[in-house]
Amino acid sequence: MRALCVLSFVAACCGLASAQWNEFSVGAKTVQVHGFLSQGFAVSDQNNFLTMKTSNGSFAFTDFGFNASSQLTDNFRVGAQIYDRNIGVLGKWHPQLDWAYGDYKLKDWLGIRAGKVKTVLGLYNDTQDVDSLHTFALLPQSVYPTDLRGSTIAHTGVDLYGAIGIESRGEIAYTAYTGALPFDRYGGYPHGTQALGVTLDHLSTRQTGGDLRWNNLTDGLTFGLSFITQPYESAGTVDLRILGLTGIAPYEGDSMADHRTQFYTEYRRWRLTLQGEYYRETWGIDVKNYEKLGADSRGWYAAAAYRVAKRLEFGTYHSRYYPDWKQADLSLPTNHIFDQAITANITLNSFWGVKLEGHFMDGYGEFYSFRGFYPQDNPQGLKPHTNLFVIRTGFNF
Amino acid sequence: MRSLQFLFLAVTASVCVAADAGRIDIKIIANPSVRASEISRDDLNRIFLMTKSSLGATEHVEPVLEKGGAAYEMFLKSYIGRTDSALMTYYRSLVFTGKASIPKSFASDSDVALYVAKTKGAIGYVTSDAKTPGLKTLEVR
Repeated sequence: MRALCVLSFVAACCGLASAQWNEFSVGAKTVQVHGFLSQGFAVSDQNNFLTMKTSNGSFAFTDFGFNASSQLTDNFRVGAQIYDRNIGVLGKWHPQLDWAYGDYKLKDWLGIRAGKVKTVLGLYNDTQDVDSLHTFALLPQSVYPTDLRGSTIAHTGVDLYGAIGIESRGEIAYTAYTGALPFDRYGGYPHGTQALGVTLDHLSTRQTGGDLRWNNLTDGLTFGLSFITQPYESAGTVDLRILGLTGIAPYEGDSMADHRTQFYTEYRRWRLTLQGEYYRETWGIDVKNYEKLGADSRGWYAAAAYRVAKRLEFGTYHSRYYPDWKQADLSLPTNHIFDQAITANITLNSFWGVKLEGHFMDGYGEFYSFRGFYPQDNPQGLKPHTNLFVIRTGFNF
Repeated sequence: MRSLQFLFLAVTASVCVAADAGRIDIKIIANPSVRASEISRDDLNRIFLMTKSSLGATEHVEPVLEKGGAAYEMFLKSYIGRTDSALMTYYRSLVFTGKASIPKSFASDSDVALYVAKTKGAIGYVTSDAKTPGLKTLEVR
């Protein structure tokens, strides 16, 4: 049934794209509708990755979104998007309201968005779901972990934004926001805590942050800085067998701190794209009646892509993630995840593309990393090296 | 030796002439409601990347694309610095985060001129010899 829905969606995408039916009028107003869908296949030689059974080869790698928006006046626009995914056990086909907001732009340097808004964080946080926007089938997981998407993706609240032109030196753009982060019940965080015996029923997070970027400092060169703080409270139950006891007990965990600072740069000129991002996240959690945990997590990547022909782009990135920079021996597989990726991005036409991608990964991170490698998905024990091959095809209109 | 130098110059000149023949001049046109008579390259870039929606005393401007063809290629190279594919990807990133709609696009100079003529605040580009009666031509600084 779900496959039928997906196929219907693809057919609708193709039909809409070819007929250019993605714009229509309601009264005097124009409404644009757009959508995207991607289907992947992933196979690995060692560990299962991203909750999929990749060691056997897995097609459980589907996501899609659909939106409608309208410019109601010169200054005011509204829109909404739904999103759904089924990646291993992530998402589980539960659709969610991805964004839905009103946007009033008073001036180029001041606008306000209110509602559920995608969170601006680094180059790709707000667009990470849309496969067709990226060179890579999997974004660098050090900075954009697919399983932890729900931890940063959007907030229900208010954004202030704007851009100020700098004569002959591009523009400075800013975004400042605050709001509540909905609990991603089917994300990597609750899946990861299950391996620790904790079943989460409630996770309440408040996001406050900002982004400042200098676009086109010289032609195609961008520098930026993002900051986010997101204190949270969580509750659920803990299976005491994890402590060698029997029974179920209530679980409560409150964050002591969770701050993330991210720096990024991008150079995009004609066929060439170069990118780099680095972040540091300091966090701590006070698990009631148990203990306090915390770490200084860091991640970075450097990426390059070149479009060798109109329909073919090659790209590569090197990505590094350290669950706790303060660990004495960062070379242990628990203390890092490195990933060297190479990709061929084939543009079949303006609404359909295919990516072939290889990943050569080293390490699997700590028990609290929740980035691709989970003990319950790898009951044979995690191995230090993983080679992964991904094919992903994406439609959009 | 001199004949070799002459041959080199002749070949170089031929290549330059051939390359120039492939060039096409474009002009930036605007609806008469746009009060400016000139526009900076930066502002033109920002308007078509949709981070700027005003121009001088004109509070709302709207970019219009002529999709495909030599004028489009020249516009991308001269003012945007992105390939067609990269520009469409950029527009989709705005669409899928709700920040903007994809600009109107047309297949010919005459269609672009027609839309710009009837749309308040519209700014587009056409080949420089296209007829654009009643429209403003903005000088690019």
